[in-house]
Amino acid sequence: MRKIVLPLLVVILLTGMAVGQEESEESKATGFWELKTGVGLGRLQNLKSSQVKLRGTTIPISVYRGKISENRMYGGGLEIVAGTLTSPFNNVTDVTTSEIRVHFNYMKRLSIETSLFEAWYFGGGLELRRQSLTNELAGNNSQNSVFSNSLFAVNHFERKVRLLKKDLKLSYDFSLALLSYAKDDGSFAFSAPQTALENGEFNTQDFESGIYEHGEIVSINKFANIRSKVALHFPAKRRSSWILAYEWNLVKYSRVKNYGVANALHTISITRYIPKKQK
Amino acid sequence: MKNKSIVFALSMILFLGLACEDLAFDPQPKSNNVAVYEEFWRVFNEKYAMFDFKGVDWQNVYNQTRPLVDNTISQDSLIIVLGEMVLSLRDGHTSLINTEGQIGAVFDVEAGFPVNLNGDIIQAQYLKGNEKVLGGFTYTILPDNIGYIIFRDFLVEITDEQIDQILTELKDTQGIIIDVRGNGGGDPFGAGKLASHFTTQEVYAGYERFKTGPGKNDFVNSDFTLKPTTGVVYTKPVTVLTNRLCYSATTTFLYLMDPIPHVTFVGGRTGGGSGSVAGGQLINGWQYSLSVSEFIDARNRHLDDGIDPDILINLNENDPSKDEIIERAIEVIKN
Repeated sequence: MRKIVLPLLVVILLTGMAVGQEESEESKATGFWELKTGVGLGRLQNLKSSQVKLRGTTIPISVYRGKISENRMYGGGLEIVAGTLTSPFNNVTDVTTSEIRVHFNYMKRLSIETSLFEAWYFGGGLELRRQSLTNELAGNNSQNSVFSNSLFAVNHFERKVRLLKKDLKLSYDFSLALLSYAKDDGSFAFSAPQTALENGEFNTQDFESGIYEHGEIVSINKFANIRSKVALHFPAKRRSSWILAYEWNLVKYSRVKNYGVANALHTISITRYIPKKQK
Repeated sequence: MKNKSIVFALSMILFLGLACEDLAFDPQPKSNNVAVYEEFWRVFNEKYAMFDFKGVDWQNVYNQTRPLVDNTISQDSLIIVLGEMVLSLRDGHTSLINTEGQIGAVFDVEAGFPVNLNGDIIQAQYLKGNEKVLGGFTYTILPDNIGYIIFRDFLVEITDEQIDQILTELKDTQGIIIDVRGNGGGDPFGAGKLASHFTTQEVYAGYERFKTGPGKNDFVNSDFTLKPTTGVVYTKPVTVLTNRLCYSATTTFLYLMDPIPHVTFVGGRTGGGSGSVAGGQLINGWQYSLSVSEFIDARNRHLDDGIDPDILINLNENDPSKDEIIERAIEVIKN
């Protein structure tokens, strides 16, 4: 637990320092909260266990705290996604998935104007993600989890649009994990990390694999994580407003060549945007 | 006009994303009999760890069984074919179960071996109602001040506190008999925990040979050195009673105890089941399990088909007055 909490504290501290610095530099930055839920369609294929593409619905819940100014956008949030995936070929395969994601990002507005978007923010992000999968019918391999810390390149584009006789804001977000520290609890055949087996470290007396043990630093070719989001921001009524979005996330990793795990999620979400009260 | 450009741009982004997603996934497999058979054969071909030790040519098994499968045969016929393939491995960790929970095939490790265990004799002649029970352990002190511990199921959780308490109560005995006959296994970590209470120094137990990739030679060895507990350790003579039902995690316990100098095995041949087990589901939902490793002990013995104990002795089933295996274990401790 300490191994999770300490890096998290460091990240939160650094983010806080950045936020503090920004506040002194830009008193005009507006704080806001976003509360999100929705419904997702998930797809999972784990070639280490089967070629079957599992499908199912998921429910996300998330909270995000951010600040935005004329030139900068930053914040951090927590997201939980849970659901069940099934096989199209039988009615007994039932894989439950739960994912927890803590993420931070910091973006600066670029002075690049295009005909498509009026504003383009670009920056970096950090994501801590853990996905747990359970298939009760897979015997000793019934539990599997994947943990990753990823550094992202983050983009946010926005412009005004006239839609349904209303002036709305349209935004597009695109994030790509460039470098990750990742760990898959399942190896090619056994329910222990591949690194532990390849290093000859497994035994049935005192083998432990904490969340940061037996992981690896991997680049995009071994651990890909892409996030994309198109959102319509409706005008505020009173103070807060709604955001309707389509989100897409693809995670693909491969520790044993040709035996990758692909995980895709399409989500329609609705978000309550609550700006901080202005004095 | 601008809105059209936006819609076009976003559509292209969506299209590229979906195309990218499709590239990340392999095509959906077929689900007919042949596809199920091929998947089953391939999974075992890539993951099963003991073809060499078992002397099984899996390609030859394919050549013999593949002609028996087409897309017109029934599910019952298919599971019979796959079941025969499972049985050819002579491995109690390897199994196949259909979606109705009917077992297609499980190798019977006991077949042809004496049982070498009679609970009625143990209760009437040795425990006599004087036993204590703590977790999965039953224990007492036999005449001649010999401790007797029965542990029949490694599925029951073991704690160091339980073992400490039992060994503290038995610390003044002249020796201990640990009876693991009939113990078909469970959690191998429990086996390591129990064995760690019988040595004061690290003991090399052997190595586990894991399948780490799909290639025929994709194996990596993990050495196993038993480390002593920080709790109570018993260093006087110990005998461990065995029979053919000693399997899986009990084999783990046995190979960890075997290199300890003051430990002697007495009884019948063990069952084996030395490998770590993986599970999964075939395309049609049938469940399988298979051994993805093999353990080779400190004496360089392959353990999966079982081993003879140091003193091989069978129970006389016609004599209800005594358990010959316990009697022999008592002799070993006294001498």
